[in-house]
Amino acid sequence: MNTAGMKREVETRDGAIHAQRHDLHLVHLDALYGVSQMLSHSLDYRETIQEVLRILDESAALGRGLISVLEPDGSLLVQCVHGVHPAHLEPPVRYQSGEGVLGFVMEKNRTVILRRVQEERRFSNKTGIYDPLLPFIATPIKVAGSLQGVLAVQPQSGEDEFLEDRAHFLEMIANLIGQSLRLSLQVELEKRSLLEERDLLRRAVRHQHGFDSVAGRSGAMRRVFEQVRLVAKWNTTVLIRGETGTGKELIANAIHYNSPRARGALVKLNCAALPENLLESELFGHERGAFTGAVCSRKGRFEQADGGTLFLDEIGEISPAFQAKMLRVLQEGEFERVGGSRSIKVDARIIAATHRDLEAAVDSGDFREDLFYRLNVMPLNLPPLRERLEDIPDICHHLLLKIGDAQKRKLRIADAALCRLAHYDWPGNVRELENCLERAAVLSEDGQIDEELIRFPGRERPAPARSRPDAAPEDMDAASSERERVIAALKQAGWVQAKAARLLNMTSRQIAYRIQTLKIERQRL
Amino acid sequence: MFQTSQQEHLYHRAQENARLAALGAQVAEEEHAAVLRESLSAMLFRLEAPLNVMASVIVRLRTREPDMAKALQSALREGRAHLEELRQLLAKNQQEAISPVNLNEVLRDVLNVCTPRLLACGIRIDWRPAAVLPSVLGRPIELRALFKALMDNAIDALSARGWKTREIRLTTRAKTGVQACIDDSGPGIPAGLELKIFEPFFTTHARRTGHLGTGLSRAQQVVTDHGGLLDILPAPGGGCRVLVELPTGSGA
Repeated sequence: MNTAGMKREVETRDGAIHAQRHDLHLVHLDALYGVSQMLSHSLDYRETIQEVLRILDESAALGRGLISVLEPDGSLLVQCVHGVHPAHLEPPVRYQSGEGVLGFVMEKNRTVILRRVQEERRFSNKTGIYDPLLPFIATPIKVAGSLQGVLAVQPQSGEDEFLEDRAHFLEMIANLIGQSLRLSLQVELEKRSLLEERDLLRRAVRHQHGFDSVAGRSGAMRRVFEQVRLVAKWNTTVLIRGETGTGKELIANAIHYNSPRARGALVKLNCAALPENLLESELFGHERGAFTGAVCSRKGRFEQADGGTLFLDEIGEISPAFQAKMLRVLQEGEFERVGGSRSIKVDARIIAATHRDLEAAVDSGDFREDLFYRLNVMPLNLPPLRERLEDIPDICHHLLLKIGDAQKRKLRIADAALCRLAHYDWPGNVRELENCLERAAVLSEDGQIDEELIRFPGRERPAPARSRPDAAPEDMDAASSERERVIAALKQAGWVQAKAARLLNMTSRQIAYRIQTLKIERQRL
Repeated sequence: MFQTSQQEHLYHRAQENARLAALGAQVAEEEHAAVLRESLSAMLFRLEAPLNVMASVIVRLRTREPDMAKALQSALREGRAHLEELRQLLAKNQQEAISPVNLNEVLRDVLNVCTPRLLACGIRIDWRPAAVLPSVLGRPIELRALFKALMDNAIDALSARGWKTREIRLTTRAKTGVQACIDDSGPGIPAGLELKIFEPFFTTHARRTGHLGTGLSRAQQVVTDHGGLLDILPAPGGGCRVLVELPTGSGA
């Protein structure tokens, strides 16, 4: 009777424990479902592990969840603690191998169960959030057998008989987390290195395009620099005016990279390089199906320049119809994609450039008066090289460094050569000077550029080269082919296309087309 | 013996206080001058725009109304001459010499100067200088003004009425040049104003508070002049992070 009673008591107790364990398993299964759902949810692992820890707390009564990750230097870095704001994990909490319970788990690579936190001397409680009277379970997060981190929780139920079961459950969770943790850490690592590279490149680009890239100490240039410095601060539209080859693009670069927009994009477009309808879709973008071949919608340059700068070169070449469209964008900052009806607003600073005499174009009706007023609010006039001959030595040294970099040798220039350069009127400006020096550098055997290596196209040509006529292209007889006509004009213009185009009474678009179709190679000699 | 050492101590403290007061006065004066200079050059620039429009109009007017154009032209010439005079006046302000500067020292000075305001606003400062920091080549006074302006901005952001967490963390570290980072626990930059805040005369404060709104535009100018980068990002845990990166003397 006695024994039977005891047996029954044991049985009922066993039965009760069994039932409790069963309940616990159901709870765990539920939590497991939640965790698995969360893991397949997002790639942002911080968000994911936070959610996982939240589920552990809310569904399985495993509170104060902590995830630490193995760092490249071999220490454990606490990534996330449930119920603790990430800002409070600053400075980062780390455990070395063997340090504290987490370090112990890392060292032994196995699960550790504490019945009560306070009974374990090793417990360092660096985060200071664990209740000394409650149990603690820490388990390794393994990927392919090797430890990648440690997952730890504090069961909220006090000491009970199911710690082993809970630990077992926690191991399951750790296994589940492992793979996704590894993947997301990899993503994060790659992202970080990409960001670092971006910053490095941004710095390099900024360095290349700052004021250092524009040589010149003449008063005229100093005034330009001062204007650039000021204009960079504001979002005003800037119009850069100057002859071809005076470095309008360099100045646009300097404005962009010295402005707060330097971290945004600098998008460039040569308005003369594209036919009108292409120009429109290039600038404003297009919607899918806007025209034949528009298989998907596309962002235009305006949208690409959002938060940055849009540089529109050769703004003087656009047609009156297009000028009207430009005016609207400049005035309202709004436009529609080709084939689209939605108005798009962007925050882009616009820098326009032209070599044309816009006043004359307005007089002759080629350029809209209202657009001219709008653009000419902040004009920046770049002086032609012949008006700042004193800058030639500086520019030469700057260019020779650049050309020397490309040729991988050191280039020097003789004073006599500099003197000769200073006695030319440079119709093609700095670009012509660069071409001239490039030619001379190729001809020079030892990197020394002497006076006789400086040759100006169209005049002072050495005698043997006089096989083809050098006169202005207008004088040439009708028999000479189109190709020769274009080449001669290009030579006379120092291979500045826009200038050659004017010699031939063409637009720069036309001459670019001819150079392409006639397969004219840019000649160096 | 004891007496003398205590006297000595008091003497040193008085000396230090006097130094701090002098520093505060100097910084305030420099700041005043810098604000004036920045405002003037910004105004110069602003005045230029309408004159340029006038110039454009004159070109068109010349053929239609020559007399009117002439009158306008002379008015324009006069206006431009005045602006030029002002410009010359500003340019005469000679720049200070470039010397090796330790950013930690600059920041410590700035912290000292800001201490009364920090205390008054109940802001906790977390100052974490890098133990070893290479010096940068720069103009010490300008750099001090730069960080003073940035600190003032952070303090302004935190002293909004009812704002609870008031913390500023100041970090320096050597990393591809020298980086100084100012994190505040304030509300952060309102969306859409990330670029606007750099414009001269732009301020998020009411005019009557006396904010001219030249702080960030001056800061950007100083950083650019030093060949560095100024970034404003969201800080981890909310708030605003200002990152200043300056190239070290060895060139970067």
